[in-house]
Amino acid sequence: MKIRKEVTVALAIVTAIVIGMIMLFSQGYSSMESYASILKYSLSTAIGRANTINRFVFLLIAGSSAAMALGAGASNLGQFGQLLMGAMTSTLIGIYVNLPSVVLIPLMIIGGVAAGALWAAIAAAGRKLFGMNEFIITLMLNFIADYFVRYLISTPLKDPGSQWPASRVVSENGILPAIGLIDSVVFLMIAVYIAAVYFVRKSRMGYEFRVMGYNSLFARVGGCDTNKNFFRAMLLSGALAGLLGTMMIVGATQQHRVISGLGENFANDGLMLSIVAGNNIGGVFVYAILFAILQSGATGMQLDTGVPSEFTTMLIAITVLSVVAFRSYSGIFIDKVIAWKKTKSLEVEK
Amino acid sequence: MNLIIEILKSALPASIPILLAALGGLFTWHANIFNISMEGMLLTSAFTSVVGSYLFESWWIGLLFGVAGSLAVSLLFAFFVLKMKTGEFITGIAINTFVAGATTYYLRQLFDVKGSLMDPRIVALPKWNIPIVKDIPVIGSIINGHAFPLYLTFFIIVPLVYVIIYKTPFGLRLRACGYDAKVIDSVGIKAERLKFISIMICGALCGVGGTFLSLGIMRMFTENMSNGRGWISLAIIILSLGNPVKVFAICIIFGITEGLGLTLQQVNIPNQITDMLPYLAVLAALYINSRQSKKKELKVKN
Repeated sequence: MKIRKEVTVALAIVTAIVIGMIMLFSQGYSSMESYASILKYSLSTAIGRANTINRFVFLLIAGSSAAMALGAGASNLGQFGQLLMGAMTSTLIGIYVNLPSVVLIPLMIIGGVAAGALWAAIAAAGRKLFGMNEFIITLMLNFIADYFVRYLISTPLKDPGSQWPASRVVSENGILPAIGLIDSVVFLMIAVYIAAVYFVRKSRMGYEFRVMGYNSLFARVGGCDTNKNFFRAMLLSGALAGLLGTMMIVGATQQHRVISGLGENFANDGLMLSIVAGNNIGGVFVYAILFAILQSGATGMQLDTGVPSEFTTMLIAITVLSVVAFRSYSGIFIDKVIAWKKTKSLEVEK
Repeated sequence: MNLIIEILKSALPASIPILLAALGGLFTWHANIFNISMEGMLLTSAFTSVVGSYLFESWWIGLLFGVAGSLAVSLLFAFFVLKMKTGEFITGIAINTFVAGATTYYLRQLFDVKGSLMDPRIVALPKWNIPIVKDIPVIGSIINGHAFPLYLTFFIIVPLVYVIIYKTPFGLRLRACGYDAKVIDSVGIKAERLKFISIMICGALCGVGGTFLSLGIMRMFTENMSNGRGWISLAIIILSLGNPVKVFAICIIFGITEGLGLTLQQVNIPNQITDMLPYLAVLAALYINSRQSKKKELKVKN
């Protein structure tokens, strides 16, 4: 007896949506109208669709970054810090280096990716050299990167023309144009995502990562260098986060500068995406669509029905909890049903 | 001299939210629950206590609301972890995200403000003057005049936690349950129930800590006010290996780094740099701790 995975996930999402409806209803909002306006603003207009697609791709990379590390059993919770360092580095390159686009943009990407990977490498080195807990180091590095970047954009690198803390805008050569309404970085990131999925599913190292994620001891006994792979997984995860930060500068629909609060929600969303997909990079795809629709429709919903856009943050958290709970409880539930059937059949025999 | 007094004076209250969260986390740590929802508990109680204080213009209803809010979060955590058997890490992350969204949502919904809530209706926790101590020159000005939960925490809660964990049957069972839950089940005590109690104790202590944050140190609520204090307390628990006395000592040191940051801002060091200090201190403490454990290993080998 087995319940199909898709069925439990669908049931879980429906449950989350119903809980959200009850919450909206208890606040005196029309829940159907609010959900309808989320869908309307995220999917029915061309601008809305472009917005959703842009968001979706950013979420996809955020989720892959988290899943790359978590799937290999490396607790990298530092996507936020790595993203910020990546964004900051590529912005600096974009402001101060004067080169044609063809050279400048790859340079910015390399710089951002390297900065993200380096920021993750600090944590990996702490674990490897001193046996420190990488879970806590990455978390603390988030706060340190956050304050460091805030300091940079509010004092030494502040744009004199801006009222708020913000860096200067990168030179025009450092911006990739949009194709129609969609950022051209979208295609680049999708290519990276496909490469990442291929890497984890098909390559030897990706296989080792997955085995390490299931059982690190088994992987080591089975002959793979878990220490080295741990380092690699952290670096790759940091590199993806750094790439995400760079794309927030290079993308045509983005702000092309570091502002305070840049990428704040993407990091946490990435972690949740990875977790809800069972740390499986391929599985991130579906949930990223769901998250993107909810998030890009949020401001529309606020305009139409007055529900604060933070409602979607709560709804996403509820969805994650619901999916996880359904997944783990379905196994227990089946066991209970089987036990109940057995006792029944024993009673009949008597 | 004045500078040092000022640092120490702001260090004591700054350490309280972290200390209370860490003491609460000790119970779940001993029950072998990887509890990362302290962050959410602190944030919730910081918010609900301000709501209670605002609505009724009284500090003790604020405190009551704060503890109730935090207990609600721990009930949610317990429901998912113990009943639905979800992973502790996953549940913690999702609950923290939920709380971050919910506090902002209700801040806008109830008060129609974004960012932070300051209002004359919010009543702060009363500050205590201690009769004899306040007249001692240096020590008096450091210790005197803080909000009252500070004294309760230092002189009652910390010793009490130590006694409960190490000297009572409950503490013994809790530690045994963390060691191996099946053993406890086999002698007829429900491990689930012990775990549930430990999560609820953690919620209650975090509730007082969050209330102290918004009504004791400040008299306001700002979005994401807990700002990683729950995570720091988790780091402290891991560092101290579950010993309440060590937790107490490390928390005071962290309070000092925070107080140092606040004081350094007055001498023209940018506040973003000084705000980093507690987080850098966690890394430094982790480093020192791992060095010491490595030395011990070497000694054993030799």
